[in-house]
Amino acid sequence: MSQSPENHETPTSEQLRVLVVDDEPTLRLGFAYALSNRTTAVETAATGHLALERMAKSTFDIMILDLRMPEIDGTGVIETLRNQGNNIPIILCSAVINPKAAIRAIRHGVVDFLFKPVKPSELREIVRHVTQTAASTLHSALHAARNQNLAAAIEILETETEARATPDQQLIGWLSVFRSIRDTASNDDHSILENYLHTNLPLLAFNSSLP
Amino acid sequence: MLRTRLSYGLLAITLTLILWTLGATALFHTEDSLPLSNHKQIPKPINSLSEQSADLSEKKISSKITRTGSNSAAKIAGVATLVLLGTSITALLYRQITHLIPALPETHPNNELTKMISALKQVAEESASHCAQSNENLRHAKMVNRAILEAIPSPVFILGDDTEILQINPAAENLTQKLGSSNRLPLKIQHVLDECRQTRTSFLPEDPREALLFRLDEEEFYFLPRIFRFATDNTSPAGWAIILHNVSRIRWLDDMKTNLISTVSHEIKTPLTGIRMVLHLLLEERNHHLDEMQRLMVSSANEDCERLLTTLNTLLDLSRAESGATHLNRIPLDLLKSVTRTAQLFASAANSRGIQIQIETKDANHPEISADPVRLDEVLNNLVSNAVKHSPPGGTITLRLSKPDAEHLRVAIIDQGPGVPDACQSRIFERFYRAPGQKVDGVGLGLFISREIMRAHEGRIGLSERTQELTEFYVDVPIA
Repeated sequence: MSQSPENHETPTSEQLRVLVVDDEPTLRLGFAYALSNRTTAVETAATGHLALERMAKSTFDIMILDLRMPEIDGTGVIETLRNQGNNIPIILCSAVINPKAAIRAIRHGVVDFLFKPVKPSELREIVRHVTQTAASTLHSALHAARNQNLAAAIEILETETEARATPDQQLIGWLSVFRSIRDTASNDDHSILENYLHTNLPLLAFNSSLP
Repeated sequence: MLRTRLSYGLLAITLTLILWTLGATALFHTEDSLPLSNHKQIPKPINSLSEQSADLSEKKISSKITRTGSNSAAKIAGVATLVLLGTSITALLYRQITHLIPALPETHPNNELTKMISALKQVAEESASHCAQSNENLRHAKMVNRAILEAIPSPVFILGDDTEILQINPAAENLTQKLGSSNRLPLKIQHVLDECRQTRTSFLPEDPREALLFRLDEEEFYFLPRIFRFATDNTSPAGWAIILHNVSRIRWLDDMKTNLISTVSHEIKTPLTGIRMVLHLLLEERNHHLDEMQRLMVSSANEDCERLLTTLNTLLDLSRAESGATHLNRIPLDLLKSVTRTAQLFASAANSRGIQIQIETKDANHPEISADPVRLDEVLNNLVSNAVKHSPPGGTITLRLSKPDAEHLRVAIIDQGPGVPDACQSRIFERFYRAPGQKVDGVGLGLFISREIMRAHEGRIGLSERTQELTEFYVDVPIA
């Protein structure tokens, strides 16, 4: 391994800049190594605090964020950034994503979930998926949701599910999640949606476990 | 000895007294009828009525007495005869008794009476002390029973067959007071009891997961109800006894175990995901090639890593099954929608093997069910996934809605697969059970989790008897 991903090289302007936030050192190393290439520069942060510091100093194109971290957890990082008006695309990557955290994330335009353990290929794919222009209906709906435009996302999904005889489970799933979030205020009772996500979030995740 | 003599004496006295009384009664009637007969204005029937009653008295005393007519003279004669007869019978009897009992000493009449009185007193004392003794025994037995009942630390209710509360111990009083329904059976228990009475069976669960939750002073308590019928003997009506066994501690330990499994699994899983990531990166050989030995070692480590992850996921599934089914979010639902959703979910997986999934429903206007949509989907998905796995290529899976009884709607999941071997039928709902010779995928928790979910719904899940080469699983969900 000639390059050490923990040394932050000065990226060129065309490079995609990725920030990996995880308290697990081996994973930071692995993620950085898996993603780094000529077109992608990776930086890492071990805590939520360090991530916010790094975000304040420089700009990134995408963030891969762990949920369970000491002091400021993933949800805390998302909310701080959004309050600062920073709308950077975030991939939430964790072994367990509890429904409450998922709902708060979706409200803040975080719709890309990756369940650990992650294969290097999946990691590269999700980064490509988030940064590239929409290739499918679901893709463009998620893109709208990332920009916190739930209405647009719902419209895209509704048109698609009506057009198809047997719509795919992910389309139906996302549609019901978006509708449910649209119809309930942030401080309302989300128990039904939470219950739904408890079972179905793994199906909606990028590395989903669909039958 | 004394008693025999006494009873004979008593008998003689009684007999004499009876005869005298009867004689006197007859005499009274006669005296009454005499002046009456002189009053001409009094109608005859009354007169004859008193005569008849006099006749009747005579007849009762002795049929041997001959009647000479209805005049009073004859009556007085009759009465005299009666009194005489009574006295003579008494004398005869007394003579007889003294003959029969040689031990009976010849005594002075006065002395005889004193003896009789003292004997009577003695008998009375004896019987009183006997009575007091048995009363004391009874009281003692009652006190012991009461003390035992009061000392039982679990709430105990003793009820009559009509479920009226007969006895209740202090623990039960305390419980009902805290529940705000003093000395009444808690409603949750009443429901279970009603079912017991209907089926005339006891309810003696062993599994602490069948315990009922009670909130007392902001604290959660789990009580395992043990309800049984008792009968004191064959003739008296039976009753019901209810003991509430506090299993909060057992439940807490069980929860702790489940939490521990879950926590430890997660703690192990986190570093393992890092290790797995690195091994995968090495095996990708993007920047550097591995020599043969290195590749072999990394591959082997990677396989171990995968196996460890599978084990951890199994443990997590188990802890989820044990803790998850207890928290339901039940709402009124259209069962057909849930079934349709499941059918759609598996449509592509089934199509790829040429299998068709069809939904059958006789009545479009089924009532709504009461269920947690997510958990119910989990059960249906599990059963349909199994059906797809075991269906022959080109087969058909039928999802049939019906109403087996007044309280449930049923979904039957029917496939044309080889079915469940007879030997394993009773075990398929056990945790970690896998039918022999089955390909390994999953860990054998699907049906166990499904049964836990249906149990929490107060519904049913089961395997129907195999007919016409069809395997049929069913789920019964309570109607809203």
